[in-house]
Amino acid sequence: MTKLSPQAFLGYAILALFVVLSLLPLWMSLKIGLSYPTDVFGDAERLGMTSLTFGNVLRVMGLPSDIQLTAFRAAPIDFTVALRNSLIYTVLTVTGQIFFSALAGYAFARMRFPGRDLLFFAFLAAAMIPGIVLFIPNFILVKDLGLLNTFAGMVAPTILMTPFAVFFLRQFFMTAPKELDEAARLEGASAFQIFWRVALPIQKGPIATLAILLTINSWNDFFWPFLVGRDPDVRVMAVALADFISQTGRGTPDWTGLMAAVTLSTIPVLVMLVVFGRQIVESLQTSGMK
Amino acid sequence: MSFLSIDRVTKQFGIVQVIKGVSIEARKGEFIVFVGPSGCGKSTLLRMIAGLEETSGGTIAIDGEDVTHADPARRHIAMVFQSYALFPHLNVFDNIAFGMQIKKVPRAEIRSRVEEAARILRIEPLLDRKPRQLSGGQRQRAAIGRAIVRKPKIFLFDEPLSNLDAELRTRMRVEIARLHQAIGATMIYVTHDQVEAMTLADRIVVLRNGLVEQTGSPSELYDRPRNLFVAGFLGSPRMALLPARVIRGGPDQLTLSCPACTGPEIDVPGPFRREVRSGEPVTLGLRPETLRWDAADPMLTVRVEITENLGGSTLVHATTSDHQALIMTAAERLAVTPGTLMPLSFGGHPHVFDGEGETLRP
Repeated sequence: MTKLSPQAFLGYAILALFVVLSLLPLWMSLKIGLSYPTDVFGDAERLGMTSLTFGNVLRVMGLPSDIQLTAFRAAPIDFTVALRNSLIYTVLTVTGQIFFSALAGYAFARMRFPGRDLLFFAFLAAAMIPGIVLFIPNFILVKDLGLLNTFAGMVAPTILMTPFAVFFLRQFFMTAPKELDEAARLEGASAFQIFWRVALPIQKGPIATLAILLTINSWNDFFWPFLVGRDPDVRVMAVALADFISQTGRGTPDWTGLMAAVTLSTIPVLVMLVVFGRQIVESLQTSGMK
Repeated sequence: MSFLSIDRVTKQFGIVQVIKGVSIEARKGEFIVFVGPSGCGKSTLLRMIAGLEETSGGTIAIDGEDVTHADPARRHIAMVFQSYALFPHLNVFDNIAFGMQIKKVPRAEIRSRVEEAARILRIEPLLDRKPRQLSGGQRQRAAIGRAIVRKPKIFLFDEPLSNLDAELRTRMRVEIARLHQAIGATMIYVTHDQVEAMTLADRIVVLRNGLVEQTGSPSELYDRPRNLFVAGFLGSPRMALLPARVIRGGPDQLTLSCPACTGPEIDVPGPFRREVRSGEPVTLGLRPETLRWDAADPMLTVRVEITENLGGSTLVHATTSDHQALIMTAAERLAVTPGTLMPLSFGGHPHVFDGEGETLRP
């Protein structure tokens, strides 16, 4: 084994510290989520597990559990449904946004049409508008369309395209070799076939990167789903968690249930990072090659 | 009737005219090479034939059909790009099959045609590989495979060998010539390399500044260049160009004085295209292989700068007494040290160009 130089040792020590700092909240939520409600306060200062139960997880998923809280005032929140809703919401916004933004980005990068640059700058200008300003007009629009408490209403502002995604993909389409499009054109491919069979697949790396960014954003979206998707049938995880806190009395939140739900909500994101994280690194490595 | 007919085409990019009225006719099965320095418009012209660039004026017809404004796919042409333009996410098989898959050709037929092309190009073991796993020459073949599998009316090659190293370039050049013989298709080939032009072409089109300078077979262009540009561009090593002045003109013989020459005057035998006045400035063009070491009756004496021993022959780089560069090809092995004064004579009929750079030869 090679010996570490003092500098390298220091470097690893600092990195280790940051790893601990970033993993600590995850660990705490896991620990509390897997503890008996009665143990939470007694062992609060201990870092290790004091007791182990999956009762809280089962409980917040609406499954039979050995843990029953007596202080509940409202109907229990079913986090299985919330998890499903979050998945639907995220998949819809991410796939829709990537598909439509790629279409727009490709058109802005490759096609010639009157007003193209003007339109693109209008798009960029839209990115400068703070999202919070758009909430009220969007809410009124969705309400007037009768889409409150539907997935359609929840994904409406983002599913078509967002300035960021359009700009991001346009930059990549612009750097792709034009000969590939031309070669496909000579082979008889239509504009859409060129996009679908050539331009899009060669941007797999950037698209995966974008998908991860958008997935994390969508998964954590709170305010907009909170405004338009309060119904339990469409309520996403983040909103369900907020509702969960507000259900219990002030000063006495159901900590074990909350932490079990929080742990549950982080699992899909972690899984995705493990699966796609590798692809990000690969895309960075291959993009340097000819 | 010609197979490809380009009639007075022009191309305008904004206010810049890059193609200024070019007319070219090609017969079926002919191998035409567009050659010229970079920026002469040869690639643009090729892309206009392909339909990748709009034509600003004139007409292009393929097989009797006017395709001036037709969509590229409707022209039944295939193009091999300088960068190969292989689709990086598809393996060689799918790259070659791409056009047929778009046209929804039955799978069995796609397979047999791809395998046929792979056999001709000897890339059968590579069909499963991605382009990035191929060497330059293999990519080149895959790109050619994509072209031949479509059985196009015309093949277009845009400097296909310029990304390859020297040895591979020579090999692929032979392969392309063999391919042309094997499938007998009409091919238009763009290059700035005059060796490729000389070796591959049935007919060469020399372009400069968006205009055709001369069209003809390689030997026609080599033996009878119409002007100084063509004379200097074709032939490797280059033709030596020596300034001279006419002392006595005549239809059958010119008497010239040239500062580089040994004697006060030299006689150049005719025939000539026109009467040349005495006192007119001309340029004498000497091909490297027409120069001979001749101590008995030298026409000019040059100072040897450097010799390149090529094994079978020797290239002598020298300067004339008026500091014009000159290269001589000697068929034998010459041992001359730099700085040596070397008496030379030239055989045959040297090229003579008038003050405008146009040839005086018929």
